[in-house]
Amino acid sequence: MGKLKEILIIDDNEATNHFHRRLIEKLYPEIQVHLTKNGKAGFDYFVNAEEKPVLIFLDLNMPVMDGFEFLGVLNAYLPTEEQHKTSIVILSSSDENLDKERTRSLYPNISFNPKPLSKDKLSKIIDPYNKD
Amino acid sequence: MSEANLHHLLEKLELLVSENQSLKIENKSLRSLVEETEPDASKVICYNNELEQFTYVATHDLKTPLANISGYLDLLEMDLENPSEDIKDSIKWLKYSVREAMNVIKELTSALKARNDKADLLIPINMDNLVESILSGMRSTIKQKKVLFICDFTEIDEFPYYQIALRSILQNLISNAILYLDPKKDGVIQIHTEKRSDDTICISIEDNGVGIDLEKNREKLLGLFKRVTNDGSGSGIGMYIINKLLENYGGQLEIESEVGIGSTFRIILPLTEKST
Repeated sequence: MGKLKEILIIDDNEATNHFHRRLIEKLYPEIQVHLTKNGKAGFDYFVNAEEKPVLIFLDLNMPVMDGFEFLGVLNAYLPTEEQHKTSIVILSSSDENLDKERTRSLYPNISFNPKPLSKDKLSKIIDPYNKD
Repeated sequence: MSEANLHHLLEKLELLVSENQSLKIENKSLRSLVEETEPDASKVICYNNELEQFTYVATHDLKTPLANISGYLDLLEMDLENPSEDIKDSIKWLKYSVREAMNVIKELTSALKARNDKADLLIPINMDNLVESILSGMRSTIKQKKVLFICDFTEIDEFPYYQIALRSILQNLISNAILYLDPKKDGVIQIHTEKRSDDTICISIEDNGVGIDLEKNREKLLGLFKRVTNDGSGSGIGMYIINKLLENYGGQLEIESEVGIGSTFRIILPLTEKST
């Protein structure tokens, strides 16, 4: 998978964003954290990034462009054969099965995590990247 | 950050707990009312639904700040070097209390879910049927207040949206319109749909009621538990629910009003199906 250099976080809650940034920087200081406040800002960042983020933490309920819409535009933007390279972790505050089905229908490479991430959950997500 | 958060949350929790208590009492008395007065049952059920929805959105909104507190507590623990026993003890009980609060929210949410375990799916909605069924639930009030309803859905009568959410939004707006009718005039409420553009439709509810001074009341109108008038009727949670539902399911509310003339509430809904 190759070493993880960057995580893109898309969430409108400032306290949650700040917490996730601090947790990641504390445990994985080599990883850059990039914060964006809604789907549109996140998508703009993704499109303009020279090296595309391979791991994105995504909230679902956001103003301007929500998580579902973001998945839709990302799906349209990335060719199918590229989609396995960018994984999305949905940071949800509810465990609505309906939301899960809906997100899976929008983008294939998705996992779920209740908010906020803990040390253990974070290492489960990041460690596979750092294995080899 | 964490302490401010905690304060804020405790305040919110206190509010919720006392709110819940009164909701419970309210619910109980409503239930006995249902048993006593069958003819008014539909009204009571409407009100009960509203209370349930309020509990739902309130618990939902508490989840994120609670989760943040729990996260910052973890960070705090990681950052503390050689904490004293007292500090460790405080952190332990802070964590315990946060967990407890989260459990309460979980229980409340699942209790509510068990009660209305029908998923709100994006389905074609027929305005004629929906409005008719809402109005028939308010029959006795409409008759008593002699309200004339003029409905026109010729421009667009079917569109995809979330039925339970839209029913609740319309129910709240219509009962508000009835509530704030001018007793000195014959009450007329007009409901109609129109296509705004290729991808939005607009449902408007226009009344000739007392009207609202928007300049003075805009904040109040959208806030929680705030009524624009002081006549004592209305729970004040209707507008909160409407805004929360539109936020969650997609859509906007526009308000136009003039004191003494009446108000028009417009629900703007997206026509594009997000889920496909």
